[in-house]
Amino acid sequence: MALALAILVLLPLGWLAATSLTTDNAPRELTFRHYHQLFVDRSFLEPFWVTLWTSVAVGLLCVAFAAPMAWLVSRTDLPAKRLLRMMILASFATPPFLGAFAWVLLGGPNAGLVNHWYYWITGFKPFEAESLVNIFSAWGIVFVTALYTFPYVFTFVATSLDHIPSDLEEASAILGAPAWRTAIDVTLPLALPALLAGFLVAFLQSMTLFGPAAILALPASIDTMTTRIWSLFQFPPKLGLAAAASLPLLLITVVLLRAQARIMGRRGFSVLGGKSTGQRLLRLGVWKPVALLPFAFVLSCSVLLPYGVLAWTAFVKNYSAPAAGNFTFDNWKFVFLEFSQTRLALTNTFLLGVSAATAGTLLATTIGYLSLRKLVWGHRWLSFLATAPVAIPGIVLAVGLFLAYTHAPLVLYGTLTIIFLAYLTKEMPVGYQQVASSLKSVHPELEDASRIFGATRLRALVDVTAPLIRNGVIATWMFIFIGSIRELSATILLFTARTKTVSVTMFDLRESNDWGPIAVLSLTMLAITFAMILAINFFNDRRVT
Amino acid sequence: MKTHWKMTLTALAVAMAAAAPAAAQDKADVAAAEKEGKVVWYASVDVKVAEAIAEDFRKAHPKIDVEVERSGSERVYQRVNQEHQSGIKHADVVNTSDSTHFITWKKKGMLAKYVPAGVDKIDKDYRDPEGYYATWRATLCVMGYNTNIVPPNQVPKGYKDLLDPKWKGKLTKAHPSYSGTSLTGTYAITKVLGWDYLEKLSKQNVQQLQSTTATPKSIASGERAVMVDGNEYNMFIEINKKSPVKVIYPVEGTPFVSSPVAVFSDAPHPHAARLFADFLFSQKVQQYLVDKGGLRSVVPGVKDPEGRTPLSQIKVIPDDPEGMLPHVEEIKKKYAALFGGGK
Amino acid sequence: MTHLELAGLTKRYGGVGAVEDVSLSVAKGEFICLLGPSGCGKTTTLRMIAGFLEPDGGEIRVAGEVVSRPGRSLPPERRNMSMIFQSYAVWPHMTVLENVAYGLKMQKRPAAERRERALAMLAATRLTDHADKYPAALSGGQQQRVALARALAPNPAILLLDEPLSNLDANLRGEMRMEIRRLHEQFGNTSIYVTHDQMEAMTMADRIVVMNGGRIEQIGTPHEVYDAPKSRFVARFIGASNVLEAKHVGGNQVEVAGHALEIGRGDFAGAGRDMSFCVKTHDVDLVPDGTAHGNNALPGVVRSHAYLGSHRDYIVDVGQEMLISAPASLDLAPGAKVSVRFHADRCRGLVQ
Ligand SMILES: Nc1ncnc2c1ncn2[C@@H]1O[C@H](COP(=O)(O)OP(=O)(O)O)[C@@H](O)[C@H]1O
Ligand SMILES: [Mg+2]
Repeated sequence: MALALAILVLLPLGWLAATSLTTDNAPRELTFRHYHQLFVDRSFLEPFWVTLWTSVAVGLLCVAFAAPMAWLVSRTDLPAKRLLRMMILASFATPPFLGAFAWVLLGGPNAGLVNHWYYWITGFKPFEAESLVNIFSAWGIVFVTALYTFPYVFTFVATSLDHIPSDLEEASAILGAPAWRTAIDVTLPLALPALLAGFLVAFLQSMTLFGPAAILALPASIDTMTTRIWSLFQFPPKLGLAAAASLPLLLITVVLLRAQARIMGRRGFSVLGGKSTGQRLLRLGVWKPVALLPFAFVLSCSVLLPYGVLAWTAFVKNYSAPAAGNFTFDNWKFVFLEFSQTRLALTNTFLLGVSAATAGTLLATTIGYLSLRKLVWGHRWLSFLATAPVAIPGIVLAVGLFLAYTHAPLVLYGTLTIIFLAYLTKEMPVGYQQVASSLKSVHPELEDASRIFGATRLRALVDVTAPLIRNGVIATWMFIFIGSIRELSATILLFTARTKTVSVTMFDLRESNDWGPIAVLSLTMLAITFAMILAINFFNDRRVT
Repeated sequence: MKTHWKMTLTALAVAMAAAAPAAAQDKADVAAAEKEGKVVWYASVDVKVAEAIAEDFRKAHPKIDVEVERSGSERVYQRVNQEHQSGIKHADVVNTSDSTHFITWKKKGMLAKYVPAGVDKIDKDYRDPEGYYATWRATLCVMGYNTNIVPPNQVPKGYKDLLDPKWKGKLTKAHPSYSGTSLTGTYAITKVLGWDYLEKLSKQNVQQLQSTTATPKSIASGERAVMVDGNEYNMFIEINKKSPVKVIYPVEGTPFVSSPVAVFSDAPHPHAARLFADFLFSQKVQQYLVDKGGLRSVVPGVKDPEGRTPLSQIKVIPDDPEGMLPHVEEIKKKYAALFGGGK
Repeated sequence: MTHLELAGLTKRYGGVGAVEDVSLSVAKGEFICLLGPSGCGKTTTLRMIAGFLEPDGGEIRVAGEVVSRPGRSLPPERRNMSMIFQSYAVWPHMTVLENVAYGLKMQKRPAAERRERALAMLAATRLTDHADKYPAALSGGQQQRVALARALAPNPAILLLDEPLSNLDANLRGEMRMEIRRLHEQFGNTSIYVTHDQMEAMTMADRIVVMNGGRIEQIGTPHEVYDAPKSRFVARFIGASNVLEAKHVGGNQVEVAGHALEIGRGDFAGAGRDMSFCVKTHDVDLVPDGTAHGNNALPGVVRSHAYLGSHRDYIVDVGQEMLISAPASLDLAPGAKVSVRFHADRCRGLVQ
C-alpha cells in the first residue's frame, strides 16, 4: 500500500527532476542547459513575470474583497446570509475555465455583452470609445481568476473570524471603542494570519491554474507559465524544458504551503479556544443596501452573469445578436445528436470520474484508517504521502506523469489509465482529509467497545466504523467525482483523441469559437456538479449524531 | 514452450492479415469495412461540416460508425505525430489544411497508398503522383469585415490597407502555429509583402485567435471589425446564417489553400478507412462541401452555387507546400515573436 | 480465590514507563479501584487487561491461564470481558436495545434469548422505556446506563470500567455510583474500576490500588488506605491530610522547627534523619493562644480562613502551611497567633 502510494507520488516527480537535467535526445547526458535557458530566454522570463505579478494581483484582490465581506457576514446583521453563502458555494463549484468561457462572452471588448450594455447605456460606439472591460488582457486573467479564487479566501477568512473569541472584541467595545475601531484594532490583527494564508492560497491557485490563462491569454498574446509549459508539449515536445519549467512551480508551491502552515500555527485555526457563542451582531440599519453591494458585485460577476450568458448562448444562434429570431435548439441538437465526440467525451469523463472517485475513496479510507489507528509501521509516512500531492500543481503533475509513463515498462500514454492516475493523485489529499476528518469523529473507543464484546477487528470495522463513516465516505466519493469531471490542467497534457474528456472537448471547441456547443456542455457539467452537491447535502443532513 | 510458439505465430498471422490491405488494394471492401464497424477521422474542417458528412456516411453504411476528431491543422498534425511516436494507433483517415504535413508523413511512411474512386480524374496539381494523398477540399484564405461596423466606403481593399491607424484594435487574425490555413496564408503574405509587413501589422493590436474557423465568427459577433485571414467557407456559412459579414479578396492576391485527405498505413480500420475516403471524394460529398460547406472543390463535375465569385475571377496566390516546408518552423517562430502565442 | 492476576506488568512508550512492575491479585467477585492522578498509567493498565495493549514485561493471568505476556496476547474479543468507557462509546447508529444486545449477538445466542436478556438488562438499568430510541435522544446519564447495561448483558467474567462517571455532572455521579455498586452486587462480576476521584474509590471499592507514576503505591481496603497511608503521596492524594516535614529524634519523638512532637504510629526514619508525618485536617486542635506550646503543640499564625457552615477551614503557618478544620464557632482573624495541638495516636510517621 505504502509502496503503491510512494510510486504514485514519487515516480512522476523523480522523472521530472531527471528529465530536467538530461538532454532530450540520446545519448542522454547530464546538462543544466534547460535551466540555463529558463533564465536567459525571454520567452520564459516574460511568462514567469506575468505569472508572478498576476498571481500577486489575484491574491491582493481576493483579500481586499474577502476581508470586509467575511467581516460583514460574521459580525453584522447582514440580510440574506444563507442565500449569500449558498451563492458563494455556487461560485466554489464553478470550474474556473467555465467562468473564463462565460467571461469571453461577457467581456470581449466589442461583442461582449457587458460592453454591449455599456455602449447602449452610454451611447458610445464600439471601436470608437474604449470598451468597459477587455477580458483578453492580463487584467482579464486576474479578474476571472480572482472571481473563482475568491470563495477559497472568503471561506478561509470567514471561518477564522467565526473562531475568534467574541470576548476579545467585547473587551474592546466595553472600553468605548466604536465598532469600526474594534474591527481595525482587534479583529483585523487577530484575523491577519488568516488573511495572509488566504493570500497565499489565492496566489498558488492563480499561479497553477491553466484554464483562464489559456482561454484569455492567447487572444491577448500573453503567456503564463502554465500556458508556456503547455505549448512546450506541442509536437515535437520539448520535455527537458517542460520539466525544468515545471520545477519552479513545484518549489514555490511547496515553500508557500509550508509558510502558510506556519502562519496558521500548528493547531490549525479550528480550535482557538475562547468562547464565541452569543456573538453580538452589529446593526447595519440603513447601511444594509450598501453592505450588500460588494456581494452583489462579486456574485454577479462569478455566478449570475456567467450562468446567465451560458444559458443565453446555449439557446441562440449568435450570442451577440438581439433576441428576436435568434432562438434555437440547434446547439443542443448538435451536442447531443450530431457531435460524435460528445458520447466519447461523456463516457470517458464519467468513467474517469467514477473510477477515480471509487479508487480514491477506497485508498483514502484504507490509508486514513491505517494511519489514524496507527495500525501499521510507518503510518506517519502514509498520511504524509497521501497529503503531499497538495503541493503538486496539476500541470506539473501531468508533466511528471507524461514523463513517467511514456517509457517502458509502463507505457500508459494514450490510455485512460494515465489520466486516471493523474486524477487519483490530485484528489488524494482532498479525499484523505475528508475521510480522516470523519474517521476522527469516530471515537476509537466505539471500536474498542465492539472488540471487547467479542467482535474481531474486521467485524468491528463492519459493525461500527463503516456505518459511522459512511456518509463521510459517500461525500468523499462525490468530492473526488466533482473534482475529476472538471479537471483540465492535467488532462490537457495527457489526453489523446481516444481519451478526450468533456473539459478538453470544450477547450477544443473554443479553438474555433463554437460558443453555442460550449455553453451547452458547460450547462451540462454544472447540472451534474450541482446534482452531486445537493446529494452531498442530503447525506450530510441525515448524518446521525 | 510449445504453446508459447503457437501464440507468437498466431499473433504474427493476425498482424500480417491486418497489414495485408495496406500492401495493395485499389478498391474498398464493404464487407470487411462493416466488420471493422468503425472509422476514425482526424480533420481540420469545420466541426459542423465534419459531423454532417460523418452522419451522411453513417446513413449510407449503418454498420460503420464514424468518430470525428476535429482540431486545427497543426494540432491534428501534432496529435498524429505524438500518437504515432507513442505507438498509439487510433486515426484512420486524416485531413488538414497544411499540405506540408502530407509530404512529411509520406516520407516517414505513415501514409497508405490509396487512390479513392474518382481521384484519378482530378487535375494532377491537386494529387500526389504516387497516389498517397489528394486535395479533398480547398478554400481561400480571405479577408472579411463586419458590415455593421465598417461603412461601405471604408472597406479595406487588401492587406496593405490594414496598416492604416484607423484599424488599430479592430483586426483579428488566426495563428499559423495552430491553423494550416493561416500558415499557408501567412507564408503567402510574407512572399508577397515580406516580414516587414507583418511586423507593422503586429503593431495594430490584432486580436490573436487560433483557428481560421474562429476569425469569421469573431467579426460576425462584432468582436472585431476586419479579419486578416479566415476561411472563405466559414464566411459563406456566416453569410448563409445572415450574419452581417462580407468577404474581401485582397488586391495583393488571395492565398489558395489545398486541404488533402489521406489514409494512414497503420490505420486500425483499414477497410473502413478506404471506404470512407471513397465517400469523401464522392460527387455527393463534394457538392455538399461546396453548397453547405462553402468550400471549393477540385473534383470535376462539382458546380459552384449561384452568386459565388468563381475561382477564375479571383487573383489567387497558389499554395506551394514543397517551398513552404523548410520554412514552417521559422514562420511559426517569427510570427510568435511578433504576435505572441504558440511559441 | 484469585481470579485475575497481574504479575510484574510493564508498558513503556519510547523508553518511558507508563506502567512499571505492577503486580496485583484480584479475587473472584471483588470490586477493585485503580486510583491515581491523571497520567499515572491507570488506563494503560486497564487496556492491557482488556487486551488492547500488549505488555512489554510481566504477564496477566485469568483463572490461572496466561492471557497476556510480551509477544503473545489474546485479542480482546476472546477474553470474555466487558468494558465501560469514559466516552460511553455507545454506538450512535444502533438503538438502545441493539446496543445492549450486541455482546449477546457476538456470543451467537438465539435471537429470542438475546432480546429477553437485553430487555432484562434494560429493566435493571431502568431504561425499558428507551429501548427503541437512538442514543442521540438520551441524556448523558441515560447513555451511561446504556453502556452499563451493554457491558453487563453478556454476563462477563470480568468487568472493566475506565472513569465511567467523569463526564457526568456531580448529582448524577452520586446516583450512578450507587447504581454501579448495586449492579455489581446483583451480578457478582469481578470488576476493575479506574478513577482519579478518591471519593468514588472510597465509596465503591472492596480494595483500592493507589497508583503513581506507573507504579503501585499502596493496595488496601478503603479504610486502610485512608487511615494508614503508606507514603506521602497516598496521604496527600487520599485527601484531608496534612503532610509535615520533620526530623526523627529517636523512639516516638520527632522535631519540627525546634519543637518536639510525639508520633503515635507509622514508620520512622532513624535517629537524626529527615522524615514526614501526616495528620488529618480535623485531627488537630486549633487553640487561640500563641503560647500553648510544649504540650505536643506548635505555634502558628492564621493566614486565612473560610466559613463553611458546619465548620471553618483555616490555613495556619507553623513554619509550613497546614489546613485545619476547626469548629464553626471558633472565629479567628488572619494574623492571629495560635497554637496547633497534635494527638500522638492521630499522627502517622511516613518515610516513603
Ligand atoms: N499511545 C501512547 N503513546 C505514548 N505515550 C502514551 C500513550 N498512551 C499513554 N501514554 C503515556 O503513558 C502515561 C500513562 O497514561 P494513561 O494510562 O492514559 O494514564 P491515566 O489513564 O492514568 O490518566 C501517560 O504519561 C501518557 O502520556
Ligand atoms: Mg485514563
